[in-house]
Amino acid sequence: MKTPQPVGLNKKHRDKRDLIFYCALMILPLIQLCIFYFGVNFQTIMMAFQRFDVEDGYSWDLHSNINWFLNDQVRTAGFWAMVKNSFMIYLYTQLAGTVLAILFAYYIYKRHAGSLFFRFMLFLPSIIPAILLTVLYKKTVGLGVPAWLQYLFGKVVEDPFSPTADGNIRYTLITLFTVWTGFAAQTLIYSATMDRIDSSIIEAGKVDGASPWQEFRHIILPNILPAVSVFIITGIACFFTNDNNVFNFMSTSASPHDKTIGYLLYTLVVNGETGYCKSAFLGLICSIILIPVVTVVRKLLNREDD
Amino acid sequence: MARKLKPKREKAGVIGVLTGILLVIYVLGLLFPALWSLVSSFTERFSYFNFYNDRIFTNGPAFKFTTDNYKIARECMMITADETSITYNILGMYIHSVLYSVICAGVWVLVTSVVSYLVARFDYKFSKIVYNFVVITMCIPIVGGLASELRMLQRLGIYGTWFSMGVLKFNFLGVYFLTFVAMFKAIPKEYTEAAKIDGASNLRIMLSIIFPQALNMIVTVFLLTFITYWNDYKTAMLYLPKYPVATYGVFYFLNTPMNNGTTSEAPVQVAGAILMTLPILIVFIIFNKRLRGGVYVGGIKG
Repeated sequence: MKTPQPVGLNKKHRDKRDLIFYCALMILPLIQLCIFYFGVNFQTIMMAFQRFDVEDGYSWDLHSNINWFLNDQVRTAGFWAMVKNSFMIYLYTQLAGTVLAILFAYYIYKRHAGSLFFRFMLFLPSIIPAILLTVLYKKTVGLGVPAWLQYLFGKVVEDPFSPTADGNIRYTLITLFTVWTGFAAQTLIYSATMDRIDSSIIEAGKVDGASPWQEFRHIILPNILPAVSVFIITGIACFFTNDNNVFNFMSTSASPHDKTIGYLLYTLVVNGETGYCKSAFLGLICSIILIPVVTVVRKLLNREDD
Repeated sequence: MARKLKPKREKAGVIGVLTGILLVIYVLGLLFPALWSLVSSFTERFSYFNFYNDRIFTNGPAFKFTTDNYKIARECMMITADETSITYNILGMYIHSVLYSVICAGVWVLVTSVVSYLVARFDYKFSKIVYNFVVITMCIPIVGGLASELRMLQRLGIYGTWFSMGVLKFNFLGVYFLTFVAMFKAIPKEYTEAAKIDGASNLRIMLSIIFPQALNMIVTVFLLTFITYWNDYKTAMLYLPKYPVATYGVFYFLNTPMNNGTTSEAPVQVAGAILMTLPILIVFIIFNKRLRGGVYVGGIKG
């Protein structure tokens, strides 16, 4: 029997029409991509070797940003504190965040007591603006908790978010907040991924006498590993760009104890065009460090998946 | 296709119980600041002020109910845009937030869904190149592009306009591109073949046959992206300085004393922050089932 053909068109015409349709819809997003991805990134490299002057505008200067980076950043203790802060926050969010997210997701997936309620609650940090959560946290931990501590134990505790307070405590509290609000979305995605596991595999495991741990170790974990690797890779990719809520808490007046590289990059731009070229240079250095790291980690994770 | 697993509630073992306890602690950690702040926002601010500054419970916990904090916040939350000298109140900032979120989320979701449709349904080599390119952009971090992007908009003469946000978001990069491609690939090709036999054009097939089947996912991603943009004041603050958005209003309110310092007081600040974020909480209450509907992420292999 002959296959029915489309009304009035042969295959050649159909292919041509497909191609025209494809190109017509693809062209504008591709132009945008050329300007705002390739163009912008190329310009970033150019700006890294320029400087901005209010009177003269942008001009080539190979040394000013290098000198700024080496003398005003690398040789200061504050810069290394920022690098350490960025690293620690990454470590906490990846280790604590991922472990908790997988545990919580498994709990919800197994429909244990209160799982629907927990699922609803875990969604809230993704919905409520970070700035509102910051206000609630800052006022409760900064004002409420010290007041109660004084009332109950007679101990005077300073507002940890005040500029005169201990910087280490403040940074620890901001880090806790970042971890606390950061992994909820991860939990929900892991839980949704678990929901998509073929039930026959779980049933087969049960028939073979697999314990809950074995089920988790040999069925659930391998199935969610691709999603976990997405978060690990994107986490590394954001290593230098994430300001980790420091701007929400401290605005532009964070102390060296609080800052991260992401915060520095952002505030350089917030402070106006004088910081644009410095931000571009610092970004270039960060990219040069991150690209090989991400590539290696991705290859390793892909090998694990295979 | 894999059968969806809906496991029956199982008895929690030791790890399950411990995880349950951790979840309760986590939820209390969320609820406590929220309830504490809500009570504070309805507390008469002088009693609150004394309570915190003198660290006293000497006269008992001082809670006097009032809605004055909300009135003060509503009256004081004004931002004057530097360039235009136009002053915006809460309503003005709400409107900016809605415009900003609708333009950014709408344009981005539209472009992403169309390009992912093309990549998923048209078996050209170029489709594979586009797919791999998106994966690579997700994995290769290019840092420091913010300043360059702002300068590019300035060069094009569209910086600070609503149009510039539409142009910026006219792209398809991001993790939801992969989600959309997977979704469009899962729709059987027979639908397209049958429609072609009936003489339907490519545009008709896309708009009348394939997109309606993907509408749930597209709307969900739109809502999630809308919320992300509503909550993001840092980008709006840089790209649209003439049009302050609601969440920027909260940031500004927190960091700028107004009305003889009244607005620096905690109950007023909390009331202001709640007022400014009320619309997004309403959106969440209305759409929470759809939002929790489950967008999942697979691997990123190029």
